[in-house]
This record gives sequence, C-alpha cells and structure tokens, in this order.
Amino acid sequence: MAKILIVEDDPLINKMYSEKLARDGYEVTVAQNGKIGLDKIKANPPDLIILDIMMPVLSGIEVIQEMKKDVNLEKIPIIVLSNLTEGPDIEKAKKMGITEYLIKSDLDPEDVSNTIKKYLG
Amino acid sequence: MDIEKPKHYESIVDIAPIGILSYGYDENILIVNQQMAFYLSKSPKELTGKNVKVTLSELNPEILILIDAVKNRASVFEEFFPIKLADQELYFNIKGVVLPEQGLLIFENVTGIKEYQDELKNLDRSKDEFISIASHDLRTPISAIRGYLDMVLKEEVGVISTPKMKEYLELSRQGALRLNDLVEDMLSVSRIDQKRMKFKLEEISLESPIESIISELTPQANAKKLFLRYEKPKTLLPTAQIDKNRFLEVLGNLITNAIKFTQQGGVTLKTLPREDHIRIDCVDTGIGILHGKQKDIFKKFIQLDSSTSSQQKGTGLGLYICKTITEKMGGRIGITSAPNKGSDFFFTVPIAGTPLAKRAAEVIKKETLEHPLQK
Repeated sequence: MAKILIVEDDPLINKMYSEKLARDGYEVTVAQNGKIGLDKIKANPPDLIILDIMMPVLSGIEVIQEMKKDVNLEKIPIIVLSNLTEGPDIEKAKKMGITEYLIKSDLDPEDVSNTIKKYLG
Repeated sequence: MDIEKPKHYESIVDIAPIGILSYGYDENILIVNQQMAFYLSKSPKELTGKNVKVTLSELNPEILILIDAVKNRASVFEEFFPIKLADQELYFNIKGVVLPEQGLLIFENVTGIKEYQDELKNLDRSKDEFISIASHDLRTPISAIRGYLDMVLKEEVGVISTPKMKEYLELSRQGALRLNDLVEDMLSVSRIDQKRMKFKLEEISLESPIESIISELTPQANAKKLFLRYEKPKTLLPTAQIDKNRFLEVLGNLITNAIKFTQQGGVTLKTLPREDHIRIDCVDTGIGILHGKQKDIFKKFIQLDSSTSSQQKGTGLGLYICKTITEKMGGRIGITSAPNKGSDFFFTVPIAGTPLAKRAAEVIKKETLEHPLQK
C-alpha cells in the first residue's frame, strides 16, 4: 500500500483529504505543520507528500528546501496543495522541482485523488 | 469714481482669505495682503519693501524655485506645497503669475483638503487589504464545504436515502460553488485595484488558446444542448501580443456568460484582424441586453436582471475584470446586443510589433517596476 503524508494545518482540510485518500486505498499519515511534517518525512519517508504552503512553525517552502538538501528525500513526489494564487512563493516552489502545484479552492478531493493516481498508480 | 477704484480693489485684495503677494523685478515686495502677512507672522507694513526671496525662504526654501520660474516668465502652479507655520505642517496650493513689471504669488491653504485626501487614500487601502485578507480566509472553509459535500453527493460514505436529501445537498453544493466564484472574483478585483495583477506578455498565435478553451467549455455548452464553435477567418491570423492566461480568463468568462444566458442555439467565436489589432467576437443566440443597459455591464458589481434565477446569477465582477484585463493588454471591450436577438461581446488584442503593442508593453513594464511583488 502506497504511503502518503498530508502536511496541512487546517483541521477541516486535513481530515477531508486524509479520509478521502484512505478510502481510495492509501496508507495516510497527517502532520499539522511543516516542522512535524519534516520530522515524519525523515523518520519514515512516504511515497508521496501533499503539502500546504502557508503553515505555522515551518512553511511548506521551508519543508521543500530541507527535502531537496537530503539525497534520501529529494526524489519523493511533492504535490503542493495551497490556496496561494500569487506571490513569489509559487515561483519558488516550482523552481525547487515540485511535482504539481494545485489550488485548493479549484478542486474537489476526487480531483486531487486522481492527480495522485498519476504518480502512484 | 475712477480714482476710488484702485483703492477699492486694494481692500478686496487685503481682506481676501488667501495669501497674496506681489514683488517687482528688483525682488522687493510691493503688495502683501493681511492673510499673507499672517502666514509670515508680520504686519503688511513690515513686509513691504523687503526682499521676497529672503522673506519667503523662511516658510520653505523651495519656494525660491517658484520665484525663479516666475522670473523666467513662466506661470507656475504648485499643488500641496508643504509649509511649516508655528510648528504646524500646512499645505498650500501656490500659484505664481507673471504680471507686467512684477511677479504675483497666491497662497491658498488646502491643508483640510490634503488631510481629507490622505484619509480617503488610507480608507481605500484598508478596504483593499480587508477584502484580500477576508477573501483568503474565506477560501479554506469554502474548499472544505464544497469538498465534503462532493464526497457525500457521490455517496462515498453511504447512501443518500431520499430524493429531497439529495436535492438539498446539491443546492448546498451549488451555493458553495457560487461563494467560491465570488471570492475568486473579489480577489481578482482587489488585485486589480491594488495594481498587483501581473502580466506576462508574449507574442503568440490566438489559434491554440482559442481551440483549448473551446474544448474545455464544450461540455458546459453541451450540457445545455448548445453548440460552441469557432469560425476561423479566411486569412491567416497575425501574431498577437497577449498574456495567454489572462486572455483565456477574458475569453472563458465571455463564453461562460454567453452559455449562461442562452437557452437554445449556441455560441460562436470569430476572429477578425484589423490594422493594429485582432478583434475577437463571442456571439450568442441568448436573451440579449437592452441598449440603455449595455454601458453599465462593465462596471463593478453590476447585475442586470435581478429576476434571473439563482443558477444564472454571477458575481457582477466578471465583466469588470474582463474590461480591466483587456485594457491593460492594450485592447478594448464592448458589446452589441438587442433583447431576444442575442449578444455579441467583443474585445481586441494588439498585433505583435505594432506601436499599440509596444505602448501596452511599456505601461505594464512601468507598473511592474512601481509595484513589485509584495511579501
């Protein structure tokens, strides 16, 4: 079973995606901020990461930066799922080699699940 | 009576609620009225005959530049010129006029107007900030509402047991999606109003963006049994200068609107190259718009027919956004329509390399420099 880590600080969104993806057959773990997320990634590298950008303690951008420094983690697909539609963070994330940049409010959980299928299917 | 006249004028000048001061070409003060003397904290008598530059440089040394300009026979007008009076910063509109053998300066205290203007600007800024913060914070809960409802409606977590339940859930989801659209549009408008909307102009053919939007929106048209087609021009289209994503935003918005307000028939896109621009027409066979109301529809928050059903209701911001984007890219937008005869919304984009295109590129470049990306 493919392992997915969801790093998202909003509990409503976090629950929505984790339960959806669990139903779709993935082994899902969650993290409420970038710091907890990074610890979990290091302790038990998942097959794919769903990552928010604007989060307390450690932002999504910082998580990507840390992952790209680590040879064991740099190849894990990262799907950024954010509500940020403008600003330098988007370009920054794309330049660091993320897999997809998705806008939360454009999508339903099923769309996100379909995107994940492309990389884990 | 003739002898009395100048004296009469003098007293008018003297009591006028604006500062008036005249001086000869030897730079010595000739006339100074009471208000002006008050600004200088001296009596008119004390000031007459004094050197104008020495006297006024006490208020603000930069006034000397005005005096020199008048000396060079130029009429000058300085808006919101700051002057310190009794430790208070006041603002004056200063007018310098060249008269025969003398210069005349008129000082109008506009501190109140300046303060009012500053306050308005601040209010406007906080309104913009409020909208963009509120909109950002609205997006996350809206994503949750639409997402959970979608999963329930797809019966991923159990069967919906009655048709009424299903109907109500569907209506809730429609409400959530509408709210989502409204927030998106409000964010766009606040980007526009704060001049934060960014443009990446490129020189490309319109064919492939038009084809992509047609295939994207055809399902929407087909769902209402309408056609959506593109009538290619007979000649090859010249290369246009556009921001592709913004162009698609405008065209997508016009097509979606056309589909919304058309019950039978469909929507036809046409392109027409002109001297320095290409005109894109989005022609529908829908309800049309009364002539008198056509000029209003590109304004902010305008919804034409309040009787249209809730499914048809938009945010009233879409066409305002289209207009702003089109004009930023160097084009214009318009409509020809008659009730029950359908509408023809059109907009133009510059042809690459034309003076029109170059002007648009310069304006956008300037704005990007003035408003670099924040945060």
